[in-house]
Amino acid sequence: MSEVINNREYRQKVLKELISELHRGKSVDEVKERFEKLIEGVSPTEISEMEHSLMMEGMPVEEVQRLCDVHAAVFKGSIEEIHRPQKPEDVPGHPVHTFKLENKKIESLIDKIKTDIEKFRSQDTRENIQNLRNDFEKLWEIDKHYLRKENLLFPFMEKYQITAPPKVMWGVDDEIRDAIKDVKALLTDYSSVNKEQLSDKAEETVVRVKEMIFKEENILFPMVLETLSEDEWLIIEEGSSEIGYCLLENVVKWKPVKINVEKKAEKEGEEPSNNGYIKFDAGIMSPDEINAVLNTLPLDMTFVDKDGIVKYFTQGKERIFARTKAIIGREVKNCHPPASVHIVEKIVEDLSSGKKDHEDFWIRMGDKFVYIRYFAVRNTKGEYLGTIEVTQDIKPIQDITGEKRLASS
Amino acid sequence: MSKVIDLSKSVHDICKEYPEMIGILKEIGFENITAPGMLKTAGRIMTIPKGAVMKGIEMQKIKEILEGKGFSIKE
Repeated sequence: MSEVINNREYRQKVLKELISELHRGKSVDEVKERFEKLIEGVSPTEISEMEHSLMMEGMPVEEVQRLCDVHAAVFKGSIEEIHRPQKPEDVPGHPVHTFKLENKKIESLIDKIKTDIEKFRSQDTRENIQNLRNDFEKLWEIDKHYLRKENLLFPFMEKYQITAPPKVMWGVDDEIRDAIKDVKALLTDYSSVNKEQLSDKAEETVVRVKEMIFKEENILFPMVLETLSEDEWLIIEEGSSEIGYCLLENVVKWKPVKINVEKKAEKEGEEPSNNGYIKFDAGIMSPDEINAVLNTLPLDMTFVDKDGIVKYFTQGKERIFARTKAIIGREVKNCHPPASVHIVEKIVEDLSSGKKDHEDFWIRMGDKFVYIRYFAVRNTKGEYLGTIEVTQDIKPIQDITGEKRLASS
Repeated sequence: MSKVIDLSKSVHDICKEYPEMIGILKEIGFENITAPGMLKTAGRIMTIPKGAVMKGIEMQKIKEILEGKGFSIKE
C-alpha cells in the first residue's frame, strides 16, 4: 500500500537501488526488466532528483557522472532530455507558451485566409464572400492576444524602464485592429465595385499580422523572458483568463518550478514534538504562540533556508516591503527583480560561506528610514542554517530624545 | 584597420562600436532605432539580419549600403 501512497519516494528508492546495482557491476540485462517496468511514466525531473540525492548522500560527482552513462543505455538516449533544463516558456500554461500557441493558431488561420482571398479574387460569389467574412470574424480574436500583451505584459516592461518597444508595438496593434475592422466592414457591406480594394486590403492586413508575430517571437518574448521574474509571470498568468485567449479553447494552469516547503520539512523530519510544544534553548512555546510572537515583533523578518529557499516571513501589521505567500517555497533568486538579484545572491553567499556574519543597509523611503539587516543563522555547532532578513522603520526610534518614564494614558 | 560589422552581433553592440551606424541603419529603414531606449532594449535582442526579415529589406541591399560606407561584413 505504501507503494501507492508514496509512489514517488518509492520509485526513487528503487531507481536508486537499481542504479547502484548496475554500478556495482550487474549487467544492464540483469536489471532491465524491473527497471523498465519501474520507469514507466517517470519524469526526467525525478531522475535528476535521484541523481542529486545520490550526490547528497556523499557519492562523488564523478561516480554519478559514470552512472549517467549506465542509465543512458537503459533510458535509450533520453539522457539529453534529462540534463537539459526545461525552459520556462516551454512549459504549458506559461504566458509566453500561451502567446506562442496562439501565434501558431493565427498562422494557420492566415494560411486559410490567403487561399480564401485568392478564391474571392477570382470569383466574388456569395459563398466566397461569406467564407472570407467568417475568416476575419475569427481573426478578430487576435484582439484578446493583443489585450493581454498590452494590459498584462507591457506594464511590467515599463516597470523595468523598457518603454519604447511597447509603445511602438501598441501603436501597430491598433493599426492591425483597425485594418481587420475595415475589412470586416467592407465585407459586410459588399459591392463588387470594391473587389480589388477589398482583396488588397485583406492581404495587406494578414501580412501585418504575420509581421507582428515575427516581432513578438524574435524581439518581445526573448526580451521579456530575460527580464521578468517568475512571480511576475505568475501575476500575468493569473490575469490572463479574465481577458481570454485567441483561438484557444483550454489553457492549462501553469505550475512553476516550486519547492513544497512542507514536504521538504517532512523529509527533514521536523515534526513538532512534546505535545506540539517547541522546545527552545530557554523555554517552550506552542506553534500558535510562536507565530503570534513573531508577528508582534516591531520588525519584519524573512527567512531563507540553507538551500536558498524562502521558507518563512512574518506578517506584522505594517510590512515595509510587500511579500506575498506565493514566494514561500521559491528560490530567493526568483523573488527579486533580475536587476537586484545579484546583490541578494552575493549577500547570501557571503553569509553562508562564513565570510560575513551580517550585512546592513539603510535607505530612505518616503518619510520612513528603513534599516535592512541580513544575518547568517547558525546553530550551536556553527553550521549555516540560512539567512534572515530583518527590516525595520527606525525613523520613530531616531526621533526619540529625552526620557519617558510614565505610561501613556 | 577596416571597420568590420559582425552580423551575428546585436544592433546594440554594433552601434556601440560604431555610433555612426545608428544614422545609417535609420536611413536603411530601421526607423524605430532612434526611439528613446529602443537600442538598449530591443536592440540587445535584434541583429541586422533579423531586422531585415522583419522590415522586408533585402540583406543584399543592406550589405551594399554598408560596404558603400566603408564597412566590411562578417557573416
